[in-house]
Amino acid sequence: MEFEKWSDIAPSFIRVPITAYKYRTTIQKWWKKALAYANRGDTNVVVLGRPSVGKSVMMAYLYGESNDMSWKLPLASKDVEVGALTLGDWTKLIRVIPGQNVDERHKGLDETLRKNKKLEGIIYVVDWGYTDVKDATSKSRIIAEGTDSLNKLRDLNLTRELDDFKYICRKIVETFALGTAPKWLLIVVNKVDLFFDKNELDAAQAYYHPKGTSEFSRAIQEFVSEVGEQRIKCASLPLSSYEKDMEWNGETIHTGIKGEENRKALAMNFFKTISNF
Amino acid sequence: MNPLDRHIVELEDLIDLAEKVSNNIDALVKRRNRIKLFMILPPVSFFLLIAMISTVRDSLSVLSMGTAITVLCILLCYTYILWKEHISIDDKIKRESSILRKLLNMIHPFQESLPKMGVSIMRKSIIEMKLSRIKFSNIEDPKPTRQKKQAASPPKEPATSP
Repeated sequence: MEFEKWSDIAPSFIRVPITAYKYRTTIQKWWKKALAYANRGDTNVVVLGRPSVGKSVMMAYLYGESNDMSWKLPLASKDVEVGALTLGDWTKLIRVIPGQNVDERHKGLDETLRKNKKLEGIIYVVDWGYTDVKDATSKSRIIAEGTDSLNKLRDLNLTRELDDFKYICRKIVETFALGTAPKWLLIVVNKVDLFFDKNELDAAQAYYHPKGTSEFSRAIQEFVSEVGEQRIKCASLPLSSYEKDMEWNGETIHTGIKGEENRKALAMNFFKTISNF
Repeated sequence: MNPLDRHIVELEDLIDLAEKVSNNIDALVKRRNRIKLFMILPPVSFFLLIAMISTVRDSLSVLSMGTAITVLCILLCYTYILWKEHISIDDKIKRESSILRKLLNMIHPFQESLPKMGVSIMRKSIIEMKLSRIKFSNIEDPKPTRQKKQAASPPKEPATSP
């Protein structure tokens, strides 16, 4: 039986707010996209991490840009990048802070962590030591200084990653005093296609897990105990934003994600975890 | 010179070069903006003169028409010169940007290895202060050339034998 909708009985001027309410998420999405385009608005989620861990590539993957045939691997980010991403029902304004220790990073951290009252969460991107050096001269210099094998490079990267993470944790602790604190911290372990083997994945999980026993886990635990367990949620998850082999001084590690469906499953897990925060 | 001193000297050289390149890009961008402003003037004057010529009806104004055409030619030449200058500045910015990007990629690994080498806190803060003067956001990336989306053609039916 067909019957008239109650919302249709209302006069047209009342129907405007009803329609706006009905499409509120779509309107909010386009509003956030406009804000991102104009590089305006307060950051909801900030993406941090060392240089070359794949922050921009990860965001391009999550935005769906990297599926485009004309998409090319981005060069080192020189400034804060902004975008809008739908997480759950609502679209969030996301800013990616460059990893290099330059003025743009300090300004970006200051703007997003200290002067921003709408910050909901932080995504800290790591890559389990598989950080490549983009510049050929620097690569040669690092090899000449003794980091001549992939294992040595990974050890060096993991040490530097831990230092950077501790620095970021100190910055986040300060935000609790300023009233601009985030509600969650997500550690995204990127480039898992380079270690997509059960044993290695388990080892990476143990290293980055908030309840693990590694140095990284201890850094998370110290941070959480400092700010209070009730005030921040922490989680870590794997992701592969782009498949690429890694070469260091003649040693090559091949990508081995074993099918696009595995990458998609990791991305789905990312969206599911972030929506539950 | 010990390895630590050499490391610091090299890093400071890189930072000095980055500062120079960043300032160069700043100056070039300012010059390009000024040229862009001047490039608006000739087309506006061109249309005004065309409008003037089209309204001239009497034969006595042949002289003024000749002057107008001469001015038009000068304007066209002037625009062409400005356009060429604009292109050359664009090229220079591209070159300087690629140098600054290379320096950005080189400075960070250099700087990261300083704590391991035992550099004093004062020295590190001096390096950080020097770095804060460099505007790496001045780097202009080449515009991405986006491929036109091609509609996938429907698969052809296999040839069937009668």
